[in-house]
Amino acid sequence: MIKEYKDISNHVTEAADVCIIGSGAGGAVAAKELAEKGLSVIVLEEGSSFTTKNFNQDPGDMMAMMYRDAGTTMAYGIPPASITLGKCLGGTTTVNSATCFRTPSEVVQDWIDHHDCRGLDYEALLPYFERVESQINVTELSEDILGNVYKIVKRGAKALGLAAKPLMHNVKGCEGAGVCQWGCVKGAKQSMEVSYLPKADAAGARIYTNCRATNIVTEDGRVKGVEAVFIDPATLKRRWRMRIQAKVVCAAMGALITPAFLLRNRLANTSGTLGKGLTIHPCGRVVAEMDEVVDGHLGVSQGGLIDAFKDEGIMLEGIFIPPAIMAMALPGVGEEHKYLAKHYRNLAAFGVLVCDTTRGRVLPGMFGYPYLAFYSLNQEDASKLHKGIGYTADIFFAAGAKRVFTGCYAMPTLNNKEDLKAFKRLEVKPKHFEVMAFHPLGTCRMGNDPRTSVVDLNLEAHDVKGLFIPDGSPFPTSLGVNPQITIMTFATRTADYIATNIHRY
Amino acid sequence: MSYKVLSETEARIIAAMGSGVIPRAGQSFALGAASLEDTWLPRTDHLLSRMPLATRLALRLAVHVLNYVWPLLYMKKFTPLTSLDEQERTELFHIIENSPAPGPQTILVVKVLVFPAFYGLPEVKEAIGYAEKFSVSPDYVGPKD
Repeated sequence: MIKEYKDISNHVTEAADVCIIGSGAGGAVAAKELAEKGLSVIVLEEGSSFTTKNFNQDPGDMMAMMYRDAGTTMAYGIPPASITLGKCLGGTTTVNSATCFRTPSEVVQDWIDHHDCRGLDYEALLPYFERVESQINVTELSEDILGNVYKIVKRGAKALGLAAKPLMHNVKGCEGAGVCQWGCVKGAKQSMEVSYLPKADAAGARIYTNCRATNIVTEDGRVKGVEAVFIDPATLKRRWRMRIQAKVVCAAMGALITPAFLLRNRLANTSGTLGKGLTIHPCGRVVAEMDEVVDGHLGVSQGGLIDAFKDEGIMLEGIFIPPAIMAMALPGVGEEHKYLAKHYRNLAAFGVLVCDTTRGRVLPGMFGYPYLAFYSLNQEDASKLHKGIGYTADIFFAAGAKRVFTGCYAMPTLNNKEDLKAFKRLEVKPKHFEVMAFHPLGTCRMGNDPRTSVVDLNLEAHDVKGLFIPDGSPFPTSLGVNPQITIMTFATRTADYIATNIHRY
Repeated sequence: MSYKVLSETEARIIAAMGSGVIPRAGQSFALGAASLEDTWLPRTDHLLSRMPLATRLALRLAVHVLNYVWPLLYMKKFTPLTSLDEQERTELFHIIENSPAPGPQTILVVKVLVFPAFYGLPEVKEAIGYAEKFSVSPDYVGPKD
């Protein structure tokens, strides 16, 4: 049963074993796993529910419809970083690029060795990875679907002795529509509202959209339930109230909203670390103008990757976007801009993702914002971004690019390899970059010691019994890869733990 | 024309910004932001209407301030952006984009206000030779709240 605002005509009172706040990669997975194990489950989602009936491939319309704050969410700092989030059933999985990576084993080992996560076991995670990957159909796509940008990058990489590999995607019947981030027009992406949530629904979970949680009710250090309000999606005004009595609450609103929500509720912060430790995977976008017609939009948004620089904390991943957004990544105004817009079909683009050492902070929101995030890129990460852009430009020039656009204000256009050499010699500072990020993590870190972490290794808050955080918040460090599989895997593991131990709550 | 969020003055300023970044004519394609402002400005207005109140207010205030500050700062002219002609606006934006910070960052604000709305229009897609690989679903009913 999925109920929307229009289905509600009065205040609502409910009771369940588990109330899950958020329907993204963490919440949806927990909902399905718990419901299928026979627990009564309620899911609250602040956004609306959308299907291919609503997807028109237009970034402007789709950002207004499905993105939190119409796509203007950001972390304040130098430079400010755009961090777009989905606000819809399925959360950010509905508007991501469907890229799948298992958690790198060395990252988990680092958590065990250096971040107080003794007791985690990578081998024990393997069955969970497999379970998640089969649910969302993680698959390798053919080169035709991966698109021409992938082919160009592969060519350039080969000339430099590097290997470009196909990215794995959670799709079924993907035909490369190239608009993954604006709602999959073919319904091929196995995002949560297509994969896990229908199964949760079939197993009896009650799913409420347009419903914003306002409080977690606790008594004597235990959760008792959740209070929420229904929001009219047309006016964004609050209307009906909802009270849910629950033995367990899963706060799965993502690494930006979950800590802000808990801070506002004055919960789970005995350690004083709640909201601290924000990592975002700062990204840069490198665009190349080619002689050949690329038609980068006739393939998936993210086709391939180059992981040769992983040890330096740099991952190069495909990214291609419609002209409405691509235009913002290009320098120039007037005829200079119009020339590039007219040559959109000759553009290729690739992204640089940095495994960041910078740490930001999330605070409770004000003035109508659900959170305030602060993140100022440190020099080490700025240097990684600089290097990553240089590597990508190398690859594009090796593939025959006429010009490369760096996204770095200090030198936005490289006309030839000499310019690239000069770019590499530049002393860049964080303020020189236009930074975007898509993977906020780490703001409710997990660990064994309640004095230094928010949740234990089962993702249960140390100081609130029955409060779990199965989203991207608990991971103690940056992953260096797209996090949806990691979030889903840990949420599955947590759901197993809750189901086994529900009698204790 | 009435807008959900923008006042007439703000719409005029954003239209002026649009015409500066995408002027009419030229060698690439004839359309400019001014050719289609009745179509893209309501789209920008709609996008703004989905932003939180504080963001909307900040952007609206910024638009008023930049209308006067940009020509004064970068062209030493006591003339608002709206009173410059299209070519002067383009020259102004070119100067700003090639200035030290925060010049390029402020131009990004203009691009955010103009590009998603402008490049989503069918005429513009056609002008630049862009067509999506697939059409929308046969049972497409339109965006919803």
